[in-house]
Amino acid sequence: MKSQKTLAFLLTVAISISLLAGCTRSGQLQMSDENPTKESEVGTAQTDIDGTNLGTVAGSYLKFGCTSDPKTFGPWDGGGGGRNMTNISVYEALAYMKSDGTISNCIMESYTNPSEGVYNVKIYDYVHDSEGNPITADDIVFSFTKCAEQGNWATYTAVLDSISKIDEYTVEIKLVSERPDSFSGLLENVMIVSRKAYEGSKDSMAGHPIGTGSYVLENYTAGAEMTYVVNPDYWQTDTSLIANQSLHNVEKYTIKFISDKSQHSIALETGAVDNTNGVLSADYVNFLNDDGSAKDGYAYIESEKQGFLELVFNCGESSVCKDENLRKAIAYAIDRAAMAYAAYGDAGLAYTSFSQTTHFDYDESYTPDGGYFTLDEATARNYLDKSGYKGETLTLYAQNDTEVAIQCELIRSYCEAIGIDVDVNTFDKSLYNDYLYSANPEWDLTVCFGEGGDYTYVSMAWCLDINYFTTGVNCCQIYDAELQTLFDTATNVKTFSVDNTKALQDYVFEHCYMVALSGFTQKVFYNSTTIEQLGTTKTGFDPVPGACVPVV
Amino acid sequence: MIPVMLLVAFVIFTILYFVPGDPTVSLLGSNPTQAQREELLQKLGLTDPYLTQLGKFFKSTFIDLDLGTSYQFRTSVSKELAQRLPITFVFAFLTFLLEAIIGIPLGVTAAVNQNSVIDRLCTFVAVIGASLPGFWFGLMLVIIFSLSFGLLPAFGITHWTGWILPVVANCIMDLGGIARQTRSQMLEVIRSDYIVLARAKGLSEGRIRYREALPNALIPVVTTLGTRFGRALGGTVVIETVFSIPGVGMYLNDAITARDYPVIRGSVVILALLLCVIVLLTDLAYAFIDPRIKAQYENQGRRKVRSRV
Repeated sequence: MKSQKTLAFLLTVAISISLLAGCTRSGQLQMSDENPTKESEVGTAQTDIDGTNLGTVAGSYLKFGCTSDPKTFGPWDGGGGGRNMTNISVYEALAYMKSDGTISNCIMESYTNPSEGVYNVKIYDYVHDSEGNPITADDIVFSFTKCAEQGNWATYTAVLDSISKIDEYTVEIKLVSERPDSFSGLLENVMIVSRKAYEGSKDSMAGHPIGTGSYVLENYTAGAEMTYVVNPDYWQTDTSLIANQSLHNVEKYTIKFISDKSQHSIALETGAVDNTNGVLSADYVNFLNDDGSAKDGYAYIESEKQGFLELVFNCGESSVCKDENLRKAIAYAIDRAAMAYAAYGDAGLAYTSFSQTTHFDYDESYTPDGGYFTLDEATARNYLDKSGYKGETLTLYAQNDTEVAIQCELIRSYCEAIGIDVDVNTFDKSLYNDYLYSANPEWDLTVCFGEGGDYTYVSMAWCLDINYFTTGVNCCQIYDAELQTLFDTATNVKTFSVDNTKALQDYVFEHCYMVALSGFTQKVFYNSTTIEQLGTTKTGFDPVPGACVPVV
Repeated sequence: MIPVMLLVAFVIFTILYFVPGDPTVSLLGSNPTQAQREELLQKLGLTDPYLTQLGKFFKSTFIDLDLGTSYQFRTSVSKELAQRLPITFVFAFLTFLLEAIIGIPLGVTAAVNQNSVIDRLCTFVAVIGASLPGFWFGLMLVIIFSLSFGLLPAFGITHWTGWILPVVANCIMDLGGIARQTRSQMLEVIRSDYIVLARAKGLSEGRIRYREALPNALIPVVTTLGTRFGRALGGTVVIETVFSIPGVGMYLNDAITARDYPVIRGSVVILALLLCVIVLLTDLAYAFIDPRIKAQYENQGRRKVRSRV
């Protein structure tokens, strides 16, 4: 009897705790259904948002969530989300790209292109940093040279052949080879600082950044947060010339580092932050009504995530996937739409070509008749019959990411359905890359994140362009002269065109070296009671705090 | 301690040398060329032979007392650890304190009320605690106390209230273990002859429990608490990640993912040093708790003095 009472008491406590933990979330859902979202708060479908220039709104203060801490503030240090926020706040580049492919000048006033691969860049003659040091051509040369030396932005600086001063405010930039995104990549990724300020800094600005940006670092607590206040002496006083990244509508803002992704949703719900781009797709439901509109008090912007998953085949002699028919059998057997849904839910996008709407050269002709290798089990079986496959077990390597793992398992199932055995192995990022680029790869097929980039060819180049490799073969373990010629044509700034890129894509699909798989539409939520309009960079993903319109 | 440190340094260096993985992946950003990766590997000295790299590491760590510079952040590993260790130390200490304050009385209460409702309740709490994954419990606490009631911050330690949820979440699993261990030790001790004698002498029950029995029962518990404290100094990666606590665990975890060798090696060497110190302090604590051990040391000391005379 006594133990029964004890048991009853304990069960009551357990049930009470469970109810306490669970009741509020469902309660919020019910409340919201009764109070439908206002039309103005329904999410839009823009990619980048140009902030409205209000000038600094006195007393405005916003809080942003970010997944990583930049840890250092040097102008050319590497890093992730925290680094992007630092670059946007304290530093400035010569110019920025907009989502429509146009250039938005910042420190650069104008440029000319006197000959192939040569650019003369003229900067404003009144640029100065937050400490009053003037920025001249010497500082531009210094910044580019130091950035290239440090190597953190080698993806962009690798095309830099030389940079030299022409006059006090003009430099000449020479490129080694030129692709459509070479010059723009340099313009927007090399942060400009004063040589005097940099050399005068004891720690190469790692702790005390001095840039030309419209904000200055006020406070930084390692691993916790960083706060920026508007630079009262910002150099660009002509408001019509201020770039989106340099707007300063908000007087002060704090960026909080939230390492656990499930905490981003909670941070936004509790008001700890006004915006975060770290909300997991599984948590979107906390901010959305059943009809997809934002709940009362929230708004969001959405855009196609740059980059998507790709399936790459090892076409080398050591792999069973050297057989083109086997590769095509696999490509036709997989259901991309189901994979995208399984991994990303309603936000999932199936890709049947290498082009995204975010690419500057996006064109519907890249996906004729619904795209390439759409699910067709009969065709898959035909190709399998024609192949020399004899029941070998294929090895699939991938990164140990949840969404990737789900899709790998589905690929394994689809292959099994037509009689191909696949063994799935996942690894951490570093180890995976080691295996991916190994001289003697042990994988037959691999699922990896393709490069985002601004142009369609970038989605294929990282894997197939021989210029990225020193081993004489590309990631598919082959050297195909015809493929390389098509690459050189499609990526040269003079011969670049949609037709040439499509010819390249057609060739890749004809031989089935790699196929596109899936990606997703990302949503960036914000508190509509504190932010009226969220300013972002060209991807629509990274917020530009100063370009936001605060609600005062 | 010195041989232990040298061995730890050697083992961690050797493991990292042979473990596959490439730090250039995270350093060079999106899809660098193979030539760029090879150039950077050379620049970082990672193409040198094993013995050359090992020699450089031992020289910088044990002669120059320099733990190196992080590949990722270009900051001194020593400085970064100096910033993070106090945070982790506070976190570990608060967890240790809470475990001791709740776990030991819980165990004692269960033992002195053996087979009663209180004993079963204590055992139930201990088992539940040991069964709950810390990160899950942490998230539940966040949902209740931050999201529902808005009483405590969901993450971050910029205010003292930020420590409450992570410390509670972190101690929940070991709390049960401490309570169970205290209970079993207490049960063993309170059945011993000297406790029977104490009772026969008419000492009060409170004095018997807390002054005569508990010190003896605590010795293995102190060992567990000491080890736990040392382990907590190494960082509780999951809890630190959930609550965005910038401690050593998160630093080490990020470094392992990015193959930031100087950070991994430096952190492991420093943590090994701290663990050695904690083991030493735990041994010293025995003497404080158990008068028999204290007397033993005192007798040894006297014997040495006599023999010199």
